[in-house]
Amino acid sequence: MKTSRIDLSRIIGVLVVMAGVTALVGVAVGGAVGRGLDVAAVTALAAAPGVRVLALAVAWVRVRDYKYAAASLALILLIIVSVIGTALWR
Amino acid sequence: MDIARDLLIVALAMVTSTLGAIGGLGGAIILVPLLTLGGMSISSAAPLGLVSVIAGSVAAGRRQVGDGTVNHRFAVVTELGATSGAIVGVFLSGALSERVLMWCLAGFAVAAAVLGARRKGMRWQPDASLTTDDVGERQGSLAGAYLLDDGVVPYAPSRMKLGIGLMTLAGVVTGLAGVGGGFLKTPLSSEVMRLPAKVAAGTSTFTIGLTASVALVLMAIDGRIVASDAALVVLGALVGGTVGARVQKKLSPPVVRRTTAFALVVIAAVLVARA
Repeated sequence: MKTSRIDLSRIIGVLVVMAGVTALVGVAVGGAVGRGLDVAAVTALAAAPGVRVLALAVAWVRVRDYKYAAASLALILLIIVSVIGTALWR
Repeated sequence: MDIARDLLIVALAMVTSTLGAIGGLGGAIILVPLLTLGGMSISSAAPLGLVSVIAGSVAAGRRQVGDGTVNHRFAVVTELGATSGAIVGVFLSGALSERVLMWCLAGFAVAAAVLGARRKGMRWQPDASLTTDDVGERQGSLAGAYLLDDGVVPYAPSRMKLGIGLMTLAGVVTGLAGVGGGFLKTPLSSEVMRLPAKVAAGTSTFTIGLTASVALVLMAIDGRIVASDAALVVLGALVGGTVGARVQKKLSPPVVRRTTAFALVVIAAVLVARA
């Protein structure tokens, strides 16, 4: 049974620690610097699911699992179109 | 700085994310009403709910990926339907009264809770011939295997056409109602497409993080995110997501199903209150 985990678990672990530390320092410091750190932590986490789908697409292309790589790219495209469409429509 | 208020936000985010990670339900649907009870406006609380879902999802993902309880291929395929439906739902928003929608969603949550709680035992059993090397997804298909205690449990989802159709419909309803939909995705994956309860919860935890991140971008464009409060939610939800994934690992699949059923009933009560 082949997997395509590409050490995703470790990458997510590093992101969790970095985002947590950044948010903690941001809350403790306060002010403009703290706000910048708060924004950085939230931005990193918000980008993580999309980056994860992109990383999966790349991993699946590498193992020639083209059907699911195409599905994940289609999902990313759908998300981009929906964000732009909704932002313009509102 | 109001330390008591800040600690309360961290604690609420932690508790709801823990519950959300166990059942793959997110937790925003519980966190947002709790924050509004504390005096926060709904327009300020909603983005914080999304932040809690994303942070909880990412934090839980670390352990869930390692245990093989996230099936990314299944997630991508079903999310194509759910996202397409949600787009249709957003553009149709206003077509149904919010009251009717909330009652419909509450009815579905109760029905899903009953289905999950009534089922006995485990649909998929450990296979002694498999080792930890077999844990994960099977290349080119939606099948896989996950780690349960010391055993490895193989599984293969079924009724995918029906399931994706219902996921799309669920997407339309959640887009109409403006809710995340984790409480629809987990039972559909588990009871209709027959994923193991833990894999359904883990996979749903991943997809709701994706959905929430899209919604958060839209709220950021509107300037609705208070960064300092969002950071507090990040702290609580990262801990909650990690704890939830650890707790889920220790629970047996029937207990996960019953915990999810309990959370669904709570969600139904929240939805009825909102209606």
